[in-house]
Amino acid sequence: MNPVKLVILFVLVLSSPQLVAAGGFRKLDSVLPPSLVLPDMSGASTKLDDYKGKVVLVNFWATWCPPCRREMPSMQRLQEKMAGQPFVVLGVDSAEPREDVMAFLEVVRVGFPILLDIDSTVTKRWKVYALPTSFIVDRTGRIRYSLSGPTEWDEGEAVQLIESLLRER
Amino acid sequence: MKKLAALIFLTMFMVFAAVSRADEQELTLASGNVITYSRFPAPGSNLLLWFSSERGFGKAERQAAIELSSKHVEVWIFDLASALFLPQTPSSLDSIKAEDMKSILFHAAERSGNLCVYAPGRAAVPVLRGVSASPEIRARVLLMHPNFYSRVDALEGADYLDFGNLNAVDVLVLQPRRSAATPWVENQVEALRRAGANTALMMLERLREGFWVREDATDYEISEGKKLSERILNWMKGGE
Repeated sequence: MNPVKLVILFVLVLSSPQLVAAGGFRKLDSVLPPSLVLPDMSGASTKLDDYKGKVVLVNFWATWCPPCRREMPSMQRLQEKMAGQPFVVLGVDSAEPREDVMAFLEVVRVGFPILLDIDSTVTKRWKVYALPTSFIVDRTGRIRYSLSGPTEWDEGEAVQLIESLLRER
Repeated sequence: MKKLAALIFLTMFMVFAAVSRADEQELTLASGNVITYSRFPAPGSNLLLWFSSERGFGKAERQAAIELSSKHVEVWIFDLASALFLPQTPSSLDSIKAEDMKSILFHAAERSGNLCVYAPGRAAVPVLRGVSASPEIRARVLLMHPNFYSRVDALEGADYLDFGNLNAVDVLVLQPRRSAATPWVENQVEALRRAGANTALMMLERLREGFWVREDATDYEISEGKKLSERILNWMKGGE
């Protein structure tokens, strides 16, 4: 292949949102999410389906996971930044007793729902192999992006991706 | 003041004496590569081969090896990535040839018929390849939070590396409870059983992966990390 074609191919690959989204986000082909029905901290059953019409950030995390703890305040700031818009964060605590989560939330206060996946059923159903792992669900209820690992949710690419989904009708 | 100085001197002397118990050995592998490993000699027939994970080999591991050798378990420590001048990454451990692992196991079997292999993290890959390629050698294998995925994708699933035949290999999987791998550890155990290994699982409660070397270790993890040699000795015997 001649060098000009190689450069064009390289530029196309880098610019293709189908292949790589920035910041380590993986762009998905509007995947239908696995079922997500879990109790929140008060014991009330919460379903992902309840949030249809909103962009949802589903974040799998655990209190013992340092990167999960580090990114948690940025999710709270994101929730505040998006106030008044159809956007919600759902934190899914993976495979921990309720008491551990309670103790953590007394130190790091968040205003979004924390759901308890005590027996890791939902973690397995969503095939989450690393913590934190996050999914961004669009307003039609389809998963559009995933991210393995932490990020600063209230800045840069994360905000851009969420805002782009909020602009979709 | 004099008493304090004497105490410091005594402590330093004891540490030096313990460390100096290790000696560096050379071994020529099937590939022709010559590697060095650390040997912590001990009388008796118990020999533990300790393969470093992708995180390399640290002070806590060295301390555990010293303690084990004082309990009549000879320890040979292999930091294969370093020994072969490879970066400390999972792929470096994946690249180690089964024939080279076989060289190590046969060399160890000449020293002892009571062989135990300890492999944390991705070190499970070369170790399982090695034992699969060496059916003549009976070794008990301790895998600390093993990682032998060949592919992992959220929402899609994971595949495991195929090690071939592990018939009659005794494997104990040690899984810290506080790990993202815990919900999947049964699948790993099942993959080993399908390959023929006699596999048991032990869950290590309230601990995280690499608890003995974590910079952010909890008090409990620190105390358990200090007992690593004791724990390994018990796991070698097959119990808690």
